[in-house]
Amino acid sequence: MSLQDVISGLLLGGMLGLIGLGFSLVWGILNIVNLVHAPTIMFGAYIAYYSLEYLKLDPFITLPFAMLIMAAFGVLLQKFLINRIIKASLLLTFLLTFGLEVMLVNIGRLLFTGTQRSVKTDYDSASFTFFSAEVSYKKLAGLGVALALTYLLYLFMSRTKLGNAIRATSMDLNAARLMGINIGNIYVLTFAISSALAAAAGVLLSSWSAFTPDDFGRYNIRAFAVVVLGGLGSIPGALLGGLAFGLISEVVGSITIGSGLDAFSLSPWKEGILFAALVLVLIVRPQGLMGKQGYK
Amino acid sequence: MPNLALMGAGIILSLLASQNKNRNLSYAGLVALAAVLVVGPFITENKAGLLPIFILGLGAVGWNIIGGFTGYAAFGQVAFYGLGAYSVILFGSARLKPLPATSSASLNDQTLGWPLWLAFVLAAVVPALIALIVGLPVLRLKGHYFAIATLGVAVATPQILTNIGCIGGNEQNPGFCLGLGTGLVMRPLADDKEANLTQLYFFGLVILTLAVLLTWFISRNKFGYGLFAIRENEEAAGVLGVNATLFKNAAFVLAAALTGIAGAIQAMYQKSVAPSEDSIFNNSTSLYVIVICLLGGVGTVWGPFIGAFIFAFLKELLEKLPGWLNNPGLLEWRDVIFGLIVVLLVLFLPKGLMQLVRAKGGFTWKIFLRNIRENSI
Repeated sequence: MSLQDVISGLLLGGMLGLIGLGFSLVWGILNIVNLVHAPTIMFGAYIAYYSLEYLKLDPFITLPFAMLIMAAFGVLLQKFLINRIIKASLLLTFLLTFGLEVMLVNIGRLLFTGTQRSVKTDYDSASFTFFSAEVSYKKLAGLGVALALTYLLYLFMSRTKLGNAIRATSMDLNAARLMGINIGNIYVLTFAISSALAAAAGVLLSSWSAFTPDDFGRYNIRAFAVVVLGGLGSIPGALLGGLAFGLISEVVGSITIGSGLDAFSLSPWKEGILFAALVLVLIVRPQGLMGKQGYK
Repeated sequence: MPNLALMGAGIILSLLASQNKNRNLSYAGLVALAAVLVVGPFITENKAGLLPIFILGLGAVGWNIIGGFTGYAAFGQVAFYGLGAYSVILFGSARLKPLPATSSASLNDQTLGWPLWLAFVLAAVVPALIALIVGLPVLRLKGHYFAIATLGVAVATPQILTNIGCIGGNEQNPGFCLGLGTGLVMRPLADDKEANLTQLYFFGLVILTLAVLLTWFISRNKFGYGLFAIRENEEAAGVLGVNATLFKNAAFVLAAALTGIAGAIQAMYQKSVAPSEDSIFNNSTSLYVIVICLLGGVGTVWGPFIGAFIFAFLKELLEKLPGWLNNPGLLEWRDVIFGLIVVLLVLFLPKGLMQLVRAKGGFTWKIFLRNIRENSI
């Protein structure tokens, strides 16, 4: 374990927090575990790739446009599909998003092919030294964007009328309806915000390493883990859960007990330990680190 | 082609058998179904293609007990499926010594391992024991949280198996080995490959039939009523004297045992297993068993059985259709179409195909519209 691991963990954690944020929003307000989250991240990454390839646009410039495109996609999905099934049981909504995920990932395979793509910019390897650790500017900027988006969402939810309407919907559906809130539209808005956040994460992650359409499925499970760690229904919780997840996975992965030939590395146990920790958190503190009733 | 016809006949006959309008028609359907299934393996040229009906069907019957009857949406059944597969090979082919998956040198050595029946019993017992240990804490969770905890168990299980490696032993004798990345190899049931598949087919058929009978028995028994009560309202069930903790744990353990046997049959067919998500621990298995229940009808006795035939039929059809249409490009669309079918089913037929044969007032197209209106906002 070194400073480098802690910093890599925090940088990765910022991305996971951003992914968890959108996931938590839809889960907390629509009561849907949204497996379309991962394909949305995938589309975000490919939008970044194609706009760099054909329009020579930097990923950080593409970011708002990708968010808008995927938000529009989210609006269509929620309005015409998910709102049609929203009152059904948890199992059915889960299966709907599962079916959609299978469809979208495979459409991604057909559209983008299985070739490894990478987003290469000229500041790709630029970095500075922080004490003993190497910090990439690109990843630090990514963390900055993640923090900024989290703060913007927090402001939106707490300071605007629409944000209050979303929170009211999650607190008491019937009371919100009596206050004249159109629940269907609130759901559409929430899903659009979540899709935009996922697209942002996709654009930011696209330049981290080469990717194929199959590489994004794991983000669903990670988003789960982040939301459970941080606590469902909390904006700072999602960020904190992401950071915790990133830190644990980087730091645990680097721990070696003993030395020489008898050394016992925890690295292959990484995911096992993470999920054991997750199950433990679920049992001991099911509301997560910062979870509370309703969306705050 | 014969496979597709067999599966189609299976769907139609089991729907006939499960309808509750005309009793004689039900019996006729049941007899015809039994006849088709017994004759099946002797008229098809691809027996292996029929095995998934029983393997996934058994997993679905198991999931139906915990997910359908008890209402606990378990999303990690593959953990028990894999453990069952692992157990049957470990105990059935063992000096508990790992062989590389490609080696066939000692495959025919029938003297290795414990008797096969014992290995199969253990393939049910081991997952059941693990389910008991996991279930006690995890079943305290509800809804999404339960779903995710089971998913976590499914992700962690192959990792733990991989990393345990060998316990004890030395250079010549590796001791008690579990993973090592190379996986384990099974000795074959019989020397002749075709006979081997036929044995597996009938074993699967008998076990699946017994499992369906078991769920039928449960569904009209105090145990089953207790599970239904837990599904509708756990607190109220407790007030009525249902020991919810005991009941739901029993359901979870039973589901794990059935899923374990399903995994064991799969392991006997594919002969070698590795503790990875690309091998026997593929997460889509967890989802397939749920989709099967959904196709047939969640929480019904016949549902998983019918669903298994529909699922196999759809898979086979999507596999073969591009060839018939002389359009190999279509093969790539197979998974897209599979996803689309799931989406359409959830939207228009959330109660499964059973809803069509059991609907009051018979089948009308309005059923689809009514379903969608019920769940819309």
